[in-house]
Amino acid sequence: MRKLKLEGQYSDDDLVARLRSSKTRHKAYTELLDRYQERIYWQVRRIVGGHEDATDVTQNVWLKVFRGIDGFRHGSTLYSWLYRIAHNEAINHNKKNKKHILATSQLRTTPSQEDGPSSERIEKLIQGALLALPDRQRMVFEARYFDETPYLHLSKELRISVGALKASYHHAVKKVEFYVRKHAE
Amino acid sequence: MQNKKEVQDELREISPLLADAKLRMRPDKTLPNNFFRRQQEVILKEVGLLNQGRVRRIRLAWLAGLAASITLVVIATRTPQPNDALDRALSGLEEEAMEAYIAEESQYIHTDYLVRDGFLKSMEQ
Repeated sequence: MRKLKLEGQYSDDDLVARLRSSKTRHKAYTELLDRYQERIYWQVRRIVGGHEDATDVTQNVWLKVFRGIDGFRHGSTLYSWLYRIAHNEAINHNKKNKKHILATSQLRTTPSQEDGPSSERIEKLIQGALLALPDRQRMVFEARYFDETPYLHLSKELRISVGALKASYHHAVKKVEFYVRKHAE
Repeated sequence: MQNKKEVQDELREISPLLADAKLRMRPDKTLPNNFFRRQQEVILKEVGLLNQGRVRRIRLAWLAGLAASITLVVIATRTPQPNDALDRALSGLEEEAMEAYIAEESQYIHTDYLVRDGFLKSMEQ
């Protein structure tokens, strides 16, 4: 499992302040990448599929982050902002390339096995289900299911209580399960 | 490891189907060696270029502002100023000038000055 980068020398808020200052920007940018680059890459890769596409999309994500950091408002947390940019970029990339690999119609055409759907098929179904989830539930599901992020860490990152995170995850899992069962038949 | 078990137990409690799917999930696809390090270098390089472009734009804007200020100063100093001495000399002459004008001794009157003061206008009414 991937190593989770825990908070470094600065909090996310301090990091944003350092990103906005021309004196500290370069170092802060390196730290931002150290902290989130890997997670953002895998988040994008799960949506776009291939390594090359994921590399291009993540590069665009980081350039957009850099260009937009002055406009970042503290109404959301840094991670949820990054997550949203990455999600949108990945979805737009698929639309642009007319990739609908996750479309239900295509998922249905995948031959199912007698002893249940293959793990690859379930992974695709999970990705299809994630597209239908609200932002917060999707974000929590991905952090917990794929990255195995501890609730406490996520709570700090998203400024959401552990209880609320658990509830979001519970709802997300139930919805994903419903989707998978419905489309795996 | 402890966290991994916690995540799996929690998931099994909510959905055994997804818990099994997670166990069967393919491991992360392998990435080229040092991929993240190299990608970071590429991004930082691009960011550096962007940053340079940004600094260049700021410098250009600053230079344009400076040039505009200099132009304004030059225009202001080169533009002929109103004749202050004449203005001062005439400022105390208003009544006298009017009297002179009425007495048709217009050679003493600076007509423009009277026009400016609305004297002629008021005479027309």
